[in-house]
Amino acid sequence: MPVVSNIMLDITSTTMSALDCQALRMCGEYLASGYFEVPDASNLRRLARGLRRHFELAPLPEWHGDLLYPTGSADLPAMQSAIRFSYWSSLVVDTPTLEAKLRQLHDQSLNQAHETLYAAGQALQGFYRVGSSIPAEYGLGGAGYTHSIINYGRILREGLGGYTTRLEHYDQSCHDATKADFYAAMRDVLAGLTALCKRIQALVETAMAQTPYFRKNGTRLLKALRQAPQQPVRSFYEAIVATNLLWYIDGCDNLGRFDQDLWPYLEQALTFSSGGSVPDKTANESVRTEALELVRMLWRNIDANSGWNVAIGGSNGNGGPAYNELTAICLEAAVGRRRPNLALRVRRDMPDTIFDRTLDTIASGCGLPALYNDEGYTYHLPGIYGDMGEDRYHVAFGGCTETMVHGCSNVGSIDGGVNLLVVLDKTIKAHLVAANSFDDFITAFLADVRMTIAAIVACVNTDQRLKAACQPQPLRTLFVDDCLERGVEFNAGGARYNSGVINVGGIANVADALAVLRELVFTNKVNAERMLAALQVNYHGYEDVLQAVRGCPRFGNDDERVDSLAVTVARETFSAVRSHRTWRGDTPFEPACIMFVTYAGAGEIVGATPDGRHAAEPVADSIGPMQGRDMHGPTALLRSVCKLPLQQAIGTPVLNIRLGREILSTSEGREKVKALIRAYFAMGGMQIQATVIDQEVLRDAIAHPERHADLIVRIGGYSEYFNNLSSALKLSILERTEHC
Amino acid sequence: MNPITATAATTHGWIFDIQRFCIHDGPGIRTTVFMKGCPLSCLWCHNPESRRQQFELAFYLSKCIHCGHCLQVCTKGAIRGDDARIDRERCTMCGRCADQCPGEALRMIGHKESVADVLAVVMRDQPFYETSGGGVTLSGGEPLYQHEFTHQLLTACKRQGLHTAIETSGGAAWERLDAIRSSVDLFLYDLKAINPEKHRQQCGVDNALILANAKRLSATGAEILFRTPIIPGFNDAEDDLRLLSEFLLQLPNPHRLELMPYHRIGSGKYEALGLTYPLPNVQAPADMDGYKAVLTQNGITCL
Ligand code: SF4
Ligand code: SF4
Repeated sequence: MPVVSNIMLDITSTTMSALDCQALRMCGEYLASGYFEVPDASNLRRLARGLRRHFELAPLPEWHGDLLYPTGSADLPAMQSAIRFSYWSSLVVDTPTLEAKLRQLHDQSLNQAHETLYAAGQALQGFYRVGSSIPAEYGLGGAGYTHSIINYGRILREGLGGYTTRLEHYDQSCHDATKADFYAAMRDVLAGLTALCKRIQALVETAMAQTPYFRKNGTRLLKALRQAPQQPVRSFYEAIVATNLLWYIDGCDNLGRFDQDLWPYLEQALTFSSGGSVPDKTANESVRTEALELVRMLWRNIDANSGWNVAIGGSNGNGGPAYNELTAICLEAAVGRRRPNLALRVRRDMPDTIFDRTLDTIASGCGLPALYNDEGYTYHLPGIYGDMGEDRYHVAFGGCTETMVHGCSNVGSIDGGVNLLVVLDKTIKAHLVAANSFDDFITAFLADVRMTIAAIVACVNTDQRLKAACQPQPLRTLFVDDCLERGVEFNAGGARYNSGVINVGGIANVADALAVLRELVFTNKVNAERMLAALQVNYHGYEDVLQAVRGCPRFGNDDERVDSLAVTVARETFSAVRSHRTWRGDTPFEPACIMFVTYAGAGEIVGATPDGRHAAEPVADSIGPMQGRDMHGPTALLRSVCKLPLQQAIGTPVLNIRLGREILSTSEGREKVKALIRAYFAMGGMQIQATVIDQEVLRDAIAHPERHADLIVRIGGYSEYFNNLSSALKLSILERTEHC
Repeated sequence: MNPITATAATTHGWIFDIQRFCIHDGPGIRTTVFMKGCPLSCLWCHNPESRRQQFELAFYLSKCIHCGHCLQVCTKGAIRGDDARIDRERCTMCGRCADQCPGEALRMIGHKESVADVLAVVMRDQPFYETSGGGVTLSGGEPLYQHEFTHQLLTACKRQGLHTAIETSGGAAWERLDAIRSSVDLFLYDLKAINPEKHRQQCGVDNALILANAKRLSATGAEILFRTPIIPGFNDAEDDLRLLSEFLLQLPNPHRLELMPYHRIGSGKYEALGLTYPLPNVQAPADMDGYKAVLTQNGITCL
């Protein structure tokens, strides 16, 4: 592992007495109390102790008599504390909560407690924040938010007990002080989790005693909790209970390959219920119905916490198809839901029944699931990580759609991003008038792109180093392979696969703009000065220039004249991103085009551009054309997009299309949609997601938001309530060309 | 260049549009080539720009930004300041005004394309034909009007292994139909009215040839889907449906019938071409189920 050096760590090792820790507990600051308990230990160990205390002592969310615990919106790793832990930022101080607490202590004249909490707050305020070393202009779509997928399947199989056994084994076989500290930290985390599980059992017992009505579910839940996640799970229900709880513990992030991890348990139940030689259809049906109900409950929890990605289907470890009844259940449970962000890995041999279910869910208007070219991902992932053996089949996604490997990777989220329109703006100002030829200009632009990417990567790698130094992730270190085996913390590169995602925005706008410059400026139909003047005043008074611009070829229409420019820009940008290596894993960065809500924001900071885009207008959505500029239907659009080196942008080149509701309402129409998607993947498309909403509905929703509280649209990498969007974004979604 | 490619490059046809991702004119995902020229003149025609085998100049008032460019460039004095804009008596269809119009309000419709060029566009969507079982559809106008071009285009498409369909009114000499038969997988054959008098009134020509061709084509075992536009008040009386059923039932082979509800989408084009829409008062049929029920009862397989 690379060594962190020359970094000023802004963490004070303020020593506090045992008494002070007691005072922090009194204020409900259990994490902080633990953190200051072991002042001389490593930061990882201090945080681990903090988490342990938190899990041992912090108040728990209520149990409402459900079959799962917790349910609804609940932040298990934070619970009301001012100094809290989260997977995306490690330790943070929530200033408003801290101030409120301090005021309260002051009012109650609890001076000693006040002083201690104040000191703790001061000491930890300076804790390095994720992404602080990445300037806003390089943070397109994210700056180091850290999605991940813990190894759910393994925890279900081994139980936490299995982790304890392995931990002791590794610990005994190493004789190194840092490692000893590392394993002590992991022991603390496991102790905290064990305490948490016990406390949850007690909570359920108490609630059952108080509310007899809760008994029925409570008895079942309790039985499951006595086994899972401590011991290996034995049934599908136990597996769901454990998965749900672990997901909350992990801060409501991603489930990864849920339908693979849990299928053995459901399969067993379905096999038993069909009763060997005398199949019992009703029993079988009821097992399925219950499984669907449980998955619905889990999805509801994920939705309530704005949780992230679940990747289903695709390939098994042998490279064979991995579709099962649970895959279908996952799809069915997502009907009408906004989250989880369901990602379906589509293979050529995916059963038609799964495809039909998929279209049912898409037709429900929720924008789920997004579809992934399984052959494409599993084939191209080793391009980042080298030889991966069967791991390449365990590709899954975090957050919107950042590409990672299930249970054993640290890819984070979008670490940084390049807004190509910002770069183009600079190149235009510096070179347009002076450039001798179009080729000169494009060369200057690509040089600027490479320079910008180098600058972004430098910041991102600094951030990765600082994360390792200051932001240990004790839970992920325990649950993401192979941190425990290697004795290396998660952010320090302990995971088996490490990379980072760099986002690229505005390819279509830049291609359109370059086509305009070539057709108009470098032919002198509109000279450079006039173009600059028009851009300067946002085309005001230059309507003729704007008209001429609109007559130029546009990306998304299968028009070689501009598609070839998009290819050049994408190829150069992606390869520039991949030419840099991550600090964390010494691997190439994963380029991505994921412009979820950010494509409006990305446009806000950019003045008018030569593609006819006015100042502050949104930029193109992800890898697709600029909204409303594709005029030749979906086949032309898909062909344009497939000319781009999509496989290079393995971090996910997102493509949003809008389908008319009508086409999904007939079986012939559905077959055509399937064919469209299959052809897209056969041509090298990597990811596609569809929204099905009538244009009139969108118009009405803009005019009358109150009537459409439940309207969900698909943007960039995920689904969002239409009403949550800015008006610029709403309009740009309305403009997105509707196909068929 | 082999002789076949040579003719493909030199044989030209008048077309007015090539639309990709067509999903209503035959199986799968298709590309439809719209050709110019038609011997019929149906009152409800929704492609008035397809009738003549020559350029058309269209003017869309709603797109005009009133910049006045067109007034300056027309050397024939054919541009007027009013809302109709074009003096069609004077206009020679030189196209200069459309070339210069920044608002795309003035547009020349129709162009001559070689078989090879049309084929190149059609072939772009081959991956989609492959996954969907789709292909190419020739439409119009009446593709048989330019039978030489049509024949060559179909042959070329077949050589590429594409599924081919042709939308025809059947109003052409039998020899023309017969010539293309082997290169066509599906005929979309329009039957507008069986009653000869009605047909003459509404479509401008007699239907004897059309009906005779339908019979002969059916006898060859060709795959035919008959299509009838339902124009309320014109061809949707009980008598019309009865005649239609009888005609279909006496054909040598059984065929399906697809009903196409009348729509007014084409009416804006009439205005743009300086024509008067002939059916100002006809409304789209509210519901097709009634017609379908009658035809089904008559023993027709109706889509
Ligand atoms: S040139 Fe075009 S936009 Fe200008 S006045 Fe004539 S029709 Fe209108
Ligand atoms: S096509 Fe030519 S002649 Fe006709 S109006 Fe335009 S410029 Fe005048």
